[in-house]
Amino acid sequence: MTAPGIRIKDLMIGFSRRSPFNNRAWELEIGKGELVGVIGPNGSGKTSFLRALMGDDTFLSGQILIDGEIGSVESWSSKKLSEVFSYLPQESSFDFLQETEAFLKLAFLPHLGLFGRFSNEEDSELASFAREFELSPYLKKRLQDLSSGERQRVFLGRALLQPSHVVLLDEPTNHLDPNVCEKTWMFLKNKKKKKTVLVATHDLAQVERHCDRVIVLSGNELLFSGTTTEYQSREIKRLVFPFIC
Amino acid sequence: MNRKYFLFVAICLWAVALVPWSGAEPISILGIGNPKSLSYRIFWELRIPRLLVTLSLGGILASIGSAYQSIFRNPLCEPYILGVSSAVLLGVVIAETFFHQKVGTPISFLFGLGLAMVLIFLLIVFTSSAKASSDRVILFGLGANFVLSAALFLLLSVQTQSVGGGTLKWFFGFLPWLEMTKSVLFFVSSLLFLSILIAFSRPIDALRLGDSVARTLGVSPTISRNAYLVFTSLVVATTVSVSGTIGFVGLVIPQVCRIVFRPASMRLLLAQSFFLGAVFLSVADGISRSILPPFEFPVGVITTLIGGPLFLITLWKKS
Amino acid sequence: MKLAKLGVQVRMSLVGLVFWAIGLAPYLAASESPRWVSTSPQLTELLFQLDLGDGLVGTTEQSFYPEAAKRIRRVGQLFDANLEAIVACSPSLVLWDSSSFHPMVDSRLVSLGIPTSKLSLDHVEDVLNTAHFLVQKYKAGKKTDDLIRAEIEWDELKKPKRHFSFLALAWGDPPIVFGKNTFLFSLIEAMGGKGVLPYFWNQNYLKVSEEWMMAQRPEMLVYLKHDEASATFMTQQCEKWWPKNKPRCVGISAEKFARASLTPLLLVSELQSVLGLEK
Repeated sequence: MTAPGIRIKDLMIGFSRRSPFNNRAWELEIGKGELVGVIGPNGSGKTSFLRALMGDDTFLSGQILIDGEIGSVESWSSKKLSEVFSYLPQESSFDFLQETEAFLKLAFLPHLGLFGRFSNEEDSELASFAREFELSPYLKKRLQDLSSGERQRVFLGRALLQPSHVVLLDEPTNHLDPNVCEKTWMFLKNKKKKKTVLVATHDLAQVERHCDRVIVLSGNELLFSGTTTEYQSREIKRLVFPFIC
Repeated sequence: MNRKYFLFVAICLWAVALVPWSGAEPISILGIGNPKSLSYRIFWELRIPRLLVTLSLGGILASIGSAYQSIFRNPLCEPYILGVSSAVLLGVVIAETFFHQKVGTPISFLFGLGLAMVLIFLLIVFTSSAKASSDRVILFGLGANFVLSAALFLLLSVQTQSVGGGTLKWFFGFLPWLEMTKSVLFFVSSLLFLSILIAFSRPIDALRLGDSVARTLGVSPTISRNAYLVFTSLVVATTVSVSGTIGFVGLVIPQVCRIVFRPASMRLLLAQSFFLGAVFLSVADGISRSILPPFEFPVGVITTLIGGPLFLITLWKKS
Repeated sequence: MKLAKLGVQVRMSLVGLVFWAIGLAPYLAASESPRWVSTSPQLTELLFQLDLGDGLVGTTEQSFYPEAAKRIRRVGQLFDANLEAIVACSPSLVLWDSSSFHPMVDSRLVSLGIPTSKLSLDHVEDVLNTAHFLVQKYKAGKKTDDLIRAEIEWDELKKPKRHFSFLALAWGDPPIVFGKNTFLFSLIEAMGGKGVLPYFWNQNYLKVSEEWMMAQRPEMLVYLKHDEASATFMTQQCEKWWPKNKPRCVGISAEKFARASLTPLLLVSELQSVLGLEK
């Protein structure tokens, strides 16, 4: 199912059952094809939330149901997970002098399995994506030789290139200059017809401008989840970020 | 770039070709063709098999080193990091201390491999638990190494080591003189091992991006890591039982490959590490047999003495 | 014209024959007289004492006795024979003893078609048994004077005599005590000593503490030093170290009395006087 909605029930987040991060279970819904901004101060649980959504190690209990898929996410196999989710972590590790093109090709890994070969189809898909995302000049360069901003875009490109339905991005606009940052947000807005995108970010202005839904976290608790208009009218921003208002 | 590459490979092959000509006893080119001469015997029955063995060992160690460095995302990883080598050494020392079996006897071999199997089993139990991230696995290996080394040193301090055939010299790498058929078999197995590693190298590419991302790329981190670790640990245990521990090759050759060749994918890195490791160890072996014949320096000492400065020079030039 | 061509052919064949013979020579030589390699100095010495030294073509470093042994080709370090060097001697037999035995080298030699033999020189009795074995097999039972004398001395030793407790030590710090299966221990026991050992450990060279040694109150302490001079010096020194218990403390020369061949038996009376034992 393309761009599915997500229903989250009774979600508890943390590493161990004895000491979860949140005190009250979270309950929220994300609509089809929405571009969701997840905002909050540092340490409010944005990364933990995104990882729990994937059924990763911060998921403790609860149900995460994706439209059109059976069962809650934490019970899925890696194969199922790779069909639905794609994830960009906050800090991308790379210790390897890989070429950008080879790195981007990793996005097709789930379909290829161990022994599959890259087909022409995938090559052309990669080429057209690179053009769209303005990565073409970097394709033959090594990751080591790019600037951190260019590299960040390559990492983001890998997450977006993956043929998945839900994209989870953790601070994708780190290291990006304001121009590129804005372009990236516009790109994400265009993508949402085919994918549901959740972005944990500090770009408050862009969230207000481009996102359909805003989720506000603070101190590992869910403060607010609703449409952008609701968010703006209720002046939640002042509560959470008093210094900038 | 291409021309330099081929030149480098050519120099490596030339160096390897020189190795069977070095050693305790000078041999003549004419003698090689004559089955009844001493040169024939030494060249074909001793040195060529030894060359095949060192090529295989060097290749195996270097490729496992590069696999571990990528799987654990840590440039300090090397084949002995999980403690399997210490287990084999401890088993061999136990066989010598309590059963008076010198290194090389079947009982000694059995003890070494047996203890390694116990450790691999514990490793599987540990990595199968949900909280075993790649850092934790390294720490497990570290802990295992400490415990096993402590037991090793305890036994070594209590008994005085017999010289020569004793275990202590074997610790630093003792390359065996195998028969021709066995060494060919060994060489072929090492190539088979390399192809298996390369065939299954895609998940390593995914693991390098982190466990969470790997999961979204369809790779289960625990299952893939376990599979790699068990497979490579078995191979490491076998190589240590055969030749003792040879340091440095698994740690530095992958780094040199990355700096000099800058491979674009895991497959290339594995293949290049294998090649360079094979060349390096055989050249080191040739040198160890030529410095002070008929004395053979333990090969692990030579690899470190030569490799250390070489590595530093490579670092310096490329920075 | 034909003759000249023939001449060339003959010359070429002669050259080829010469090269072939050069390659063949070691093989031919090997099939004529015994070519033995001994892997330990004591074994080398024993072979010379049994008049089998002429057949030796290789031995390891530190083979200094007798003088003739110094001229034999070296095939490796002490107790660490090198496979290639052994093979280069084209030996017809390779001899090991328990301290020099290297299983990996041994199995490879056997697979190369070179026969090997493992002899034991651990105790005094072992030395005599090995000597008898070698003489029986390779000398048709013809004993040398040295062997006959050694046997006589051994028979003398077996007669009943006064017993004394002793500790045999080497390499002063920490003290290393010779265990049951060492040559020196067996020699002194044969002279009437009762060796003192920690009962739970069956190693050949045991590290013990000075405290433990003093608590055992042995009647005699035998310190093994490399040569005469340091042995005499040792005797003077250790008298000062053990004032309270006052065991008889003696330094003896390893050169003379601890080589696992017939030599110590031939020097038994000298050893007995050094140790202060009545005949």
